[in-house]
Amino acid sequence: MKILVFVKQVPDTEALVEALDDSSLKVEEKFEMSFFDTLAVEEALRLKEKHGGTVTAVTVGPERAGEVLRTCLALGADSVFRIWDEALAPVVTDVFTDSLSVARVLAAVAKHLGFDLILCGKQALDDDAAAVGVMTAALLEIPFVTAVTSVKAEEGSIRVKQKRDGAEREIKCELPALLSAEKGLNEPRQPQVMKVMKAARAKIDAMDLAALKIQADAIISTVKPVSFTVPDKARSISIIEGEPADAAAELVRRLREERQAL
Amino acid sequence: MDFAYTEEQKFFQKVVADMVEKVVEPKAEALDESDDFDHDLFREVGGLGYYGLRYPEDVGGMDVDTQTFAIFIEEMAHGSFGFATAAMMQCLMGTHFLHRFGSEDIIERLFKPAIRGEKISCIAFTEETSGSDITGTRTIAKQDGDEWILNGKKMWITNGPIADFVTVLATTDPALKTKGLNFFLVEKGMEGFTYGQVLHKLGARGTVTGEIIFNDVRLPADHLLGEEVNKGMEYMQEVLEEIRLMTAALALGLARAALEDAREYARVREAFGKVIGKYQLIRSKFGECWTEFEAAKLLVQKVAWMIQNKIPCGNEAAMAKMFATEMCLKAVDEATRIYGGNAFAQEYPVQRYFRDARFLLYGGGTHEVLKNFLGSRYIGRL
Repeated sequence: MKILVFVKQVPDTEALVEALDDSSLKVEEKFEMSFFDTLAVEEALRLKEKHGGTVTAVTVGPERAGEVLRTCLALGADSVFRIWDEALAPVVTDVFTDSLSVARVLAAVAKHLGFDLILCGKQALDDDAAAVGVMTAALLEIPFVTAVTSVKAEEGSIRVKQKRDGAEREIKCELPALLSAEKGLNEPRQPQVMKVMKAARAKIDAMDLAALKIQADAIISTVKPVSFTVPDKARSISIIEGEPADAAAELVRRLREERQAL
Repeated sequence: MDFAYTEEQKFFQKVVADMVEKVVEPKAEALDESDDFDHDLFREVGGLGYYGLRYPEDVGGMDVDTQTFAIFIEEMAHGSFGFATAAMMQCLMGTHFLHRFGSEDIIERLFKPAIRGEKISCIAFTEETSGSDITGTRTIAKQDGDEWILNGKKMWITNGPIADFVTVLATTDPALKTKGLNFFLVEKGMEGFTYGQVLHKLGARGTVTGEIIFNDVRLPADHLLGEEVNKGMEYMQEVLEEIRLMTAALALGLARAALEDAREYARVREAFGKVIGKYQLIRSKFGECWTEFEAAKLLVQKVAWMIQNKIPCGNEAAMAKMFATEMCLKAVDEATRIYGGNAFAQEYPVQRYFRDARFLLYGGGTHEVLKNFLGSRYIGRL
């Protein structure tokens, strides 16, 4: 099975993000692979180990984004491609991604490389847009199943499960298809040092739009950030005094009536 | 002159830091509380290939440079100091002499499984009345035909009571002092090899540290780890610089953990209407500790470079160990002051850092011994 995995480099969850003004953010230079993408990579590797084939990881991003591809190599990917072009700079920045532009690029990559199955995270941890996967599938005109928690390959098709709030749904879809990974799909492995050192020395090549036969003017920002607002400071903590049973009842009341959380 | 890590080292650091954060750090508190050895964790990290970092590829190692190995030790100490000491023992002191002098049988049967994390190794220097002063070694080895007979007791042996094999420093004759020292391999299950008291430590918990006893332990000829008899001191000098350097790397990792936690605390803890990170006296602590951390790191990088390039660095390695340790002691102390009364609560990790740091004072030579050594080197023969 020829599997493609789309991965995205996002700011580390512990990176400091500062609002320079209401229209620009400064992100600390700490990046990592988006969490849901790590699940997609792991699932691709497990499918390959079980059924044979190849795993190719792809990202769209500047040179620093090559690090997530290096991680994919360390984990066991067979090949990686970083797609970058100056024409992409306005639509893929540190703090904003134009999903449709990236989907157009990834759809072109998928056609260029060929595939049986594409895996990606259900959403990126930076913008939570959850858009690139579904848009790419639409552009490729292939089935798309979001937020899968189990994947089983069958002859010419794939059987997946989605779980939410205790409910479960099983779906069968024909290949080729695009699946997005949900938490619980697997527990990503740690890379073997031998592969880490090999990946550390690997040259990560970049492909530009011309190599994918995409006209630069096809990359048009469809949505643009207008302003950023810093969140309010965390709400202050309330201590509910009294007997434990009474305090618990009061907590439930507040969650239900004041926060509508229950 | 280039102080930057190579791209490979940067990537390695990121991968190790990620592994430590996900695999090691979640167990740090439990390791400290129980002071038990976590066999599953030990095997898991070994299974990833980390214990073979500094050994050549032909024996299953990774053949990384000294700086890269120091990065590993620093990151491990950042996650769990107790586990880092066990890992360092396995990567370095516990396996070094087997690799250097072990027969093919020893390499296949003990060394290779050890660097895969399948066997636990350790080294036994210290005795009840000798530590930094190894001329006080009283564990004695007597030759008997082709065999050796070992008698004595070793104390403070990290993982000694649970090790599958031990590299033991012993003398053929105490009167010969440093010229009578040798390393011997003793395996678990050998007749006369037992363990005694298990020590309950202040810090660096999560290893089983204690006494091991040799009572007429008969060792085959290939269990003398050395090409010649009584050359143990020379063999130890070959690796002493690296041991001291890696002890300094442990100090870097622990200091960084303490300073990072203290920084997070200073960013959110409020006093007199503002976060304490806005007060100059708190900032001053970070200003000093950060500077000293960077200075210690530079020394570590320099000594790593010297070892890598085979430049003798006995003085610099001693300085790095001592300076990084003193820096770490100050960092953990300042972290407890920044945490205020909360530092005194076991619910916060800063008290663990504070206790762990004391361990650094003894491993790799006490600072009293090292200062005396460096002072005499500087003044010269009188």
